[in-house]
Amino acid sequence: MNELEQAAPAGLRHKHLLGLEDYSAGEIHLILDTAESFLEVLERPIKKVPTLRGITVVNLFFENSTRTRISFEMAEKRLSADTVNFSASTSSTQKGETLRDTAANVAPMKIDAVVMRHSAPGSCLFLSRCLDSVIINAGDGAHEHPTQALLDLLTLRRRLGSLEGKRVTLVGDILHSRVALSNIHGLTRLGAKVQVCGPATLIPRHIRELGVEVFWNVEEAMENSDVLNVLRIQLERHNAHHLPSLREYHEEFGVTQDRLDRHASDDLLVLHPGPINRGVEISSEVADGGRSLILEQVTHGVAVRMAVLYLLLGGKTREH
Amino acid sequence: MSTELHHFEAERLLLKGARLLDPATGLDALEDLLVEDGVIVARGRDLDDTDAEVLDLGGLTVVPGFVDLRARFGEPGREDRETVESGLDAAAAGGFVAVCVTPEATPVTDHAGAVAALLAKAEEHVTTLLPLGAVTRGLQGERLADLGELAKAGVAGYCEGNRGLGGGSALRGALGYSRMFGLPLFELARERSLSGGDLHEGVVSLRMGVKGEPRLAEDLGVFAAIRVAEHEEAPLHLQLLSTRESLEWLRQAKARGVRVTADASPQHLALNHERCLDFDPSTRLAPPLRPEEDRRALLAAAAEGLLDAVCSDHRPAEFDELDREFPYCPFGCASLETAFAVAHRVLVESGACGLERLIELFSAGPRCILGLPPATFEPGTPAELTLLDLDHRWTYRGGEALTLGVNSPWEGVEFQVRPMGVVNGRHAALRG
Repeated sequence: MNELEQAAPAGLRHKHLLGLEDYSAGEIHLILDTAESFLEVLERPIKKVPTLRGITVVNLFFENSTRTRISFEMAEKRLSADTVNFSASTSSTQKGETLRDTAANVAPMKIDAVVMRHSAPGSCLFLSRCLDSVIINAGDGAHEHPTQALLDLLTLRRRLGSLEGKRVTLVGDILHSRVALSNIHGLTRLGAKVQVCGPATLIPRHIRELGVEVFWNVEEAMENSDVLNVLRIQLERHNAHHLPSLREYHEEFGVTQDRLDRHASDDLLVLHPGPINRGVEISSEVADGGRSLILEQVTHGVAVRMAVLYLLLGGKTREH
Repeated sequence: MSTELHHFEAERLLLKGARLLDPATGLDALEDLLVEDGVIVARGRDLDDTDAEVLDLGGLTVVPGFVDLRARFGEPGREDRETVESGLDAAAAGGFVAVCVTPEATPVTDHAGAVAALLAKAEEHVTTLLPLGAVTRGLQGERLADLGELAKAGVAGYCEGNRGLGGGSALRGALGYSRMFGLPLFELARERSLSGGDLHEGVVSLRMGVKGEPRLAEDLGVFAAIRVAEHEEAPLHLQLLSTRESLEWLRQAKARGVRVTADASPQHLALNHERCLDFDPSTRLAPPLRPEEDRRALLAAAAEGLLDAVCSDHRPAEFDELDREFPYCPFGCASLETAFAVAHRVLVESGACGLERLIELFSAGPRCILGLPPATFEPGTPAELTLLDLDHRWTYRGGEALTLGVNSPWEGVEFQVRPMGVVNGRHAALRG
């Protein structure tokens, strides 16, 4: 306990968390270890530590996201940081304010950290060049969503111990998924065997160059996996030529109890970043069943975000 | 070393002390040139003329004047990006005696008045502005513009800008109709339903989470465009080829005698898509930067003569447009002032081809495509000359450049050769 109340050691070699592509296995394990300690805090009656007292974090969400934002907000409050929320629909971006100008308004307030979700890939990198604050990527377009991958890794590590050689298959629309890409980076770093499964039109051809194996048949994928990470599927304008209907998707790729019973080992675990489309990519039976780690993922999300905030900002408390 | 270009106009010009190099005639000699009223009247050693303005060009190489086949200015409408004057200054600084300007202005160059306005603005400048007329009204892609009127107004050719005609029926009509006026049609060939990505669809766009445009968009576009041109028996100039498949279609077409020519930009000859990884907006080009194998194929095509020309594809943007998230930045980069130096580095300094071939790509090739006579050093021909220093280290700095555009991928890069000026008729511009 006391060690968390002291200023954080500079364990991470990065100032920001923009993605997992450049993070080493050591850094990822440090975040996960730190998250484990915070899980303990979240079990207590008073779920709060003063670690980031005096630190201000702005949650800059240009895209709708209740879950991720709440998770970050909880993490910030549990660490006693001050939080400010900004969401696009109520903001001046509606009036055409650029990201640069939004950042310029934040800068004079000497904010310690900005957690941003934005629809443009590379936008968190752009923001890091506009501000002195620590930048934490809560999802930038189809690029990365590092804290989601980290909480997935924590969940798996707690259940499986080492991820070395474990076959983890991401199922769904891989093409447009930042969750998939961050997971690919993180899982690869920790030695897992990464695989993807989905309609061929939704799997980027070049994904094999990242060392990822491809399945177009979900039953075959189940037979060859230790973990399924099921991604939400949606019909959107941009996938009209890629995906006929949700009904067809469910028929071909739905993760149902029946399929798992017939094709998966008893130990196969199921993750989902949420929110789930019951009856589409995953059936209720599976989502609520024994293989599912979905609820644990949510708890782990807060702990992982606390760990990231602590490791990136803990040193700043000394300055105050 | 000053980056200023000094402009002047003289009845008689004496160019002394330079090396004259003309790949077309094989001339390579230290000789002087006397230019009277814009025409070369004498060429020889130790020429003298007491009435002439003397330009001491010792150490420089004089070559047939460069012509650029594709640049976009901002005037009228986006003068913040580039005015006619700043654009022509940048062209002169890049060694160009003439530059083709795309019709993408506001209003579009699709009627005689717009052409006249551009020509009037450019009148006194050392570099000639060659306006390209829009193929369709307003560049909307529907009805043809009055191509005959545009021809009479003095356009050098027709071009639909970055949108392209999209193949098929539109290109067929455009080629069929425009051939009556004997002017070239420039096309950025694309299969429109496949275009719309921000980068080349590949492992780099995947890692960046950026929407990719598959190479198919260009391959199919180029294939279709060649077939239409062949069918219509009309000449077609394809701009900004970038994939190895496009080059293969081009090779086969030329082999069977189709009247098709092609160019590429210095950026595509020099850079591959990995250059985009740090989200620098000046690497966001159309067509996108490709993988290394395509770049190498493009270099080989330029060196061997499969490609007819290099064009700058100058597309300046101003600061605020670039100071935003990657996908919201405009495509293109400012490139007039670096085009020759970049091409020299990747073609000549690398050993891919000789200096003569490079000069052809900047001079004889573009002139032939435009139907202009080659620039020579023979007495009786107009003086259209590019002055080069082939041993001159310099660093490109956007702040010192004459273009208003701030989007260059060459910021801070050092080069070994530099265009030092141009002579165009009675006008001249010289650096330093």
